[in-house]
Amino acid sequence: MKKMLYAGAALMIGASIYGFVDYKRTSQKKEFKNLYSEKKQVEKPNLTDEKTVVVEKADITEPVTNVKEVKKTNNNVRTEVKKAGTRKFRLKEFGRGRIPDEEEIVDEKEVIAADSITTVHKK
Amino acid sequence: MLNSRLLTFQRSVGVLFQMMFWLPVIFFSLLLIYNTLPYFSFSKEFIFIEERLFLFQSSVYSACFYVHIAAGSLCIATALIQFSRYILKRSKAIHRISGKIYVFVVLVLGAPTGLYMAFFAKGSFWERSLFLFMAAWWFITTLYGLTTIQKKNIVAHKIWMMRSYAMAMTAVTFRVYHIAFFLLGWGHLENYEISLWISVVGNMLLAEYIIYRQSRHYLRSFATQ
Repeated sequence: MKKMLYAGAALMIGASIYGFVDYKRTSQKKEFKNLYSEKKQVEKPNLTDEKTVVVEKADITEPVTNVKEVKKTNNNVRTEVKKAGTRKFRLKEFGRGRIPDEEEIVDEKEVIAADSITTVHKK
Repeated sequence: MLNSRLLTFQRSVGVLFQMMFWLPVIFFSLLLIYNTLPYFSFSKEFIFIEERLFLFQSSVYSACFYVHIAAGSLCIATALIQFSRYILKRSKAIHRISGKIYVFVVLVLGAPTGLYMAFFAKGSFWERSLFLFMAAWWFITTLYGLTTIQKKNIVAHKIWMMRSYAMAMTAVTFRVYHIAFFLLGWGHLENYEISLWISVVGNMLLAEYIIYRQSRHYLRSFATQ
């Protein structure tokens, strides 16, 4: 038992000395200074179950000319669904680390043939 | 007859309060241990590690972290059975073996690694100082708990071990406050710092209150009439 006490005491002294020296050395580094700095705040979601649906449709059909070349731009559909997040706790987040905000941002982007240009050659 | 009914009622209330205290303690302690196990996959894909990736490049810090969480889990698990009067009455050997594991884990593994990691802890100078104090106080209280039982001073042993357990349980209470404040919508850093202070100071005060309650009859015996 006494050996354990001495070992523990020696380890505590060692840890405090080495820890202090290591801290002094590490604290000079830029990475350590920025270690715990908060990242840019993500826009806080509304707590209501608001759904934002943005639908953009752009039908651009160039007039068919008598020229031999016809350009046709297909539909450009972009759907963005944002579900507002709520602060919920899950048991696996019972730890010292940062608890992530419950942000359920469902980003559905349907870009159908965004830049597809069909070229029809008339004979 | 009335007296025995009153006594039964008092005992029932006592058991109820004990259950209200111990059930959450056991649940959250086991949850902490359960959530610690995935860290031993040695993956870096944990929020705690991702925040400190720079520190984890150091093999000393990395080793201290894994030793510390293993020691913490082990000491919380062993401490759960240390306060059971039933186990103490039925088998003192279990109490002794479990106690030796607890003391070894705290003195040789948990406290020294915690002390080293305290220098790099999140928060300001004061939070780091608090972590340093926690490691030192955890070591001292456990040391006193051991030396008092070696001198067969059971009352002092119980008192010092309660203080030691209060320090060990800051890991659990911190998480409870952290979650409570998170659900209240607090920002991460202020939540972290306040949870830390409340868990340490709160646990120490609660331990002193329990010690006072348990020893007040003894203290009253000194009072002159």
